[in-house]
Amino acid sequence: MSDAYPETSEAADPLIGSTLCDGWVIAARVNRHAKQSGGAFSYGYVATKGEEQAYVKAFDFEGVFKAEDPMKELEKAVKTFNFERDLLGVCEKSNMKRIVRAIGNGVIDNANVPFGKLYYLLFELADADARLHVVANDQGDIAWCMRCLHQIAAALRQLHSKGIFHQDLKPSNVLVFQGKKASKLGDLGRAHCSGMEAPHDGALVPGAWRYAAPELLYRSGLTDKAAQRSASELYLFGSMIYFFVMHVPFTPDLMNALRPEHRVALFGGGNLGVLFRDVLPFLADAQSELLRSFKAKLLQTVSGNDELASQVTDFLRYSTMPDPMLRGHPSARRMVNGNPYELERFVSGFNVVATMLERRQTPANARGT
Amino acid sequence: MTSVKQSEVSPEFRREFEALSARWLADKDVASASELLFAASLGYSDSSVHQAAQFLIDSPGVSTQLRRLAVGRLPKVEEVPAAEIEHKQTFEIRYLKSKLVEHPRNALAHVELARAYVSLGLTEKANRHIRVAIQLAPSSRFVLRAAARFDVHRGKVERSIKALEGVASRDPWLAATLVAVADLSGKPIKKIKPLRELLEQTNDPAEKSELAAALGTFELKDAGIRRARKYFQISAVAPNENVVAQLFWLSKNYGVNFDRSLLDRGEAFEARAQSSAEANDWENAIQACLRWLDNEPFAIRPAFEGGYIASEMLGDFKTAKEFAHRGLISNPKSGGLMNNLAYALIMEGDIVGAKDLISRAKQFLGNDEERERAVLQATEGLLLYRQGNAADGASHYIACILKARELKIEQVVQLAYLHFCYEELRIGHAPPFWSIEELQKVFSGDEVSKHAKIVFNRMVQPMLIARQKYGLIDSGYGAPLPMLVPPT
Repeated sequence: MSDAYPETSEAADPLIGSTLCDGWVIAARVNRHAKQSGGAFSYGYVATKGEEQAYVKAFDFEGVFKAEDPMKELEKAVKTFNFERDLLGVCEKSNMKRIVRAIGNGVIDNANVPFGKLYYLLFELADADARLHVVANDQGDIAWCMRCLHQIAAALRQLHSKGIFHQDLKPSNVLVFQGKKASKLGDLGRAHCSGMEAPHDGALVPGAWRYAAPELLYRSGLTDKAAQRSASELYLFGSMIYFFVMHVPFTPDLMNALRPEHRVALFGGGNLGVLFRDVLPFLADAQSELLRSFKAKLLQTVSGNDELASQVTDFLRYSTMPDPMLRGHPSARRMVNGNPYELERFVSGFNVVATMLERRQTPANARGT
Repeated sequence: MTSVKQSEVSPEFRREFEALSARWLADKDVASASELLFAASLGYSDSSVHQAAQFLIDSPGVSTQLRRLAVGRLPKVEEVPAAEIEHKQTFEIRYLKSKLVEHPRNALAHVELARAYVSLGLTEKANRHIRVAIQLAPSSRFVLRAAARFDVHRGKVERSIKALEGVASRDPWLAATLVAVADLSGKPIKKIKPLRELLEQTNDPAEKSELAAALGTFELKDAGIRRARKYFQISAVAPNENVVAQLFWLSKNYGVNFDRSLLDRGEAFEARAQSSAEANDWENAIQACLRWLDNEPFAIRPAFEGGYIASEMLGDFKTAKEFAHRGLISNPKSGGLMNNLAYALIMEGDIVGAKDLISRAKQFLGNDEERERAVLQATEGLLLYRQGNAADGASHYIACILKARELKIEQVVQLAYLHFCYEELRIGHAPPFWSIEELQKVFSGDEVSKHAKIVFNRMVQPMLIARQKYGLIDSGYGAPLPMLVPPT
C-alpha cells in the first residue's frame, strides 16, 4: 500500500493481464520492489475494470523458500495475509470512512507463482501518498497539512473504537484521494486487533523502527501492553505532526539531538531499563529543542499567528513526550478513569486549526460574507 | 559518525534498514533517500547512507530540515576545538530560562542552568535549580551525579548522600558517586557490602570502572594498597576520564600499573595536565588545565594547578590571572586563589589591587588552612618588599618557611626560600643564609624538588649572574635556617 503512487514498471510482468474477482484485470505494476510485511512480500499493481481503477496488493510467497525454515515462514506469511484480510473485513463492516476501503480479495490460479496460486487484496486506488506532498516541497500547504492531520487522527480514533491499533503510521501509509480533498490510512499489515491474533503481536517494534517511540527503541516499554500500544500510537501521531511541518519524522531528529553515548546503547544488551531511565532527561531536553524549532518553523508558515502555532506545538508536545508515563493530552490525563492516550481532543483540535486556516485561505466573498 | 556495531543491531531493524538501502539503490529518488536517512538516524549506517545524504543535498526543492538531516549524516570534516567555544554564561542563562518557561519539566535544563549560575558564583540560585532537577528526575544518574558534584562544591553533602543512598545499590555509577562523596566529606558509608556486591554483579567493565576506583580509594585509606590494588586493576580495564586521572596519580604514588595510551582519551584533561607537568611540558599542561576548567567550571583544582604552573614554572602572569579569575567566579571565597591572584598582580606591578586581595584572603582563610596561610604570608612578604619594606618582608618570608617546615611541606619551604632569595638579590643583597656557591650546589643537587630547581633556574640564577657584577651586600641573616639539607 505504501507504493500507491502511479509509477509503472517498464519490465514485462507475468501477472499483467491476469483476471481477478469481479472482472478486475491487472493492468500495470506500480512498485519495482517487494514490500516486506510480516514474513510475506507483496507487490503493488493497478487493476482496471472498464473505467474504474483499483490497487492490487499481490502476495509473493517466493521469499518464503529462501528462508532457513521455509515451512515456518510460509505459515507466518499465510497468517499475515489472513490477518490483514480479516481486519479489512472488520473495517468494512464498521464503515470506517477514513481507512482505505478493500474492494475485494481472493486467490487465482497462476502458474507463474509458487503453489500456482496468487493471493491478493484489492483496494480503492489513491492519487498518491502524503510523503510526496511534503518531502520534496518546502512550501507546503499548511491548511491541507492540518486537515490531513485531522483526518489521520479521526482514522486512528475509528480504528481504536474497534480495538484496532495501526502500529505502522508513517507518511507513506497516509494515502491521498480526490485531489488532496481526503486522506485515509492504509496498510493494516502491522496492526493489532484485540480479537485477532497477528504473527507480529510479539514484536518489540511492530512498525518501522525509524518512526518508533523511544521507549520501544530502548526496550523499556510499559509493562501494560495495551497501554503501551496506545502510547506508541499517540507518539506515531505526534511524529506525523512533526513530519507535516518539518518534513522529517520525530524519532530521527530526537536521536540526532542526543549525545552518541546515549544513542549507541539502543541495540546493545545489558540492563537497558536503567539506561532509558537515565537517558530520559536528555530525551526531554532534546524534545524541548525540537519543539522550539518546530514552533519557529510553524510561525513562519502561519504568518506569525502565535496562538495557532502554540496550540499545534502543544499537541506535538503532548503526543511526543519521551516518557510514556507523561504522554497524552493533559485534559485526558486528568480524568481519573480515562485513557491518557485518547485521541478525541486531537481530532477536535486539528479540526479547529484546519478550519481556521482554510477560512483564511478562502476569499471573504467566496464564503458569502 | 558514531555507528552501532553490526553485531549489536536487532535483526528486525537490520532487515528494515537493508530493505530501505536496497530500495534507495534501485530508485534513487527523494522519498527512498529520505526514508533511508531516517533509519540511519538511529545510529546504523553504511556507504549507501552517504550517497543518499549527498543526493538529498544536491536535489532541488528538498526541504531545509531534510537537507539539515542529510548534512548531519555526511562524514564530519573537522570538529571545532572546545577551547574556541566562548563562554557566554549570561546569554546561556537567558536561553535556558526561556527554555524552562516553555518546558518547566526539563530536568536537564535545570541542571544546566544551575551549572551556569555556579560558573557566575550564584550558588544559592544554582541550588534551587538542582533541587528542582532532583524532584523531576529522582533516579537519573546524570542529575544525581551533577547534584552530588554541586553539593561537594558548596560543602553540604548530606542531602546528596541521602539521595544517593536510596539508589546506589542498583546503579554502579551512583554507587561510585556515593563512595566518592562520602570519602571527600569524611562521612561513613552506612552499607558498603551491597556496593561491593554490585561491583561483582556488574559485567560491563566500563560500567564498573568508576565504582571499582572509588572502592579502591576507600580500601586504600582503610586497609592499604595491598587490598586496594585488586579494585584498581578492575577499574583500569575500561576507565573514564576521572578514573584515568586517579590511576595516573596512583601510578606515581603507589606504583600501580598505568597504560599511558589512556592519556590520549578525549576528555582525560586532568590526567593529561598531570602527565604534561610531569614531563615538564608546561604549555600543554596549561592547555589541559584550561580544557579541564572548561569541562568542570566549578572545580577549583584546575584553577590552582594551571595558575601555579603559569606563575611558578613559566612566569606567565597573564595566564595565571586568568586561572585565578575563572576559579574565583565559581569559588569566590577561596583564599588560596585570592593569594594566587595577588601574587600575579604584584609581579605585574599592581600593588594596590594585591594589597586588597591579601586582606580579603586573610578573612576567608580558615584557621585549619595552615598551608594556605603560610603561603599567603610569603605573598605578603613579597608585597612588603615591593613596597620598600624589606625588613618586614623578610620576616614574613622567614615565618612562612618556619611554618612550612613545621607542617613538613618541603616544597613550600624551598619555593618560599627561593622567592625570599630573589627579593633580596633584587634589592642588591646577598642570598640569605648561604653563599652563592652553596646555593647553586643545593639547587642543582637531588635534595630539592624538581619545581624548586625550575624556579631557581628561571628566577634566581639569572638574578645572581646579573647582581654579582655589582657585588652583593650581606644583609646579615646569620646561620642557615634548618630548612634544607646543608651543603657538604
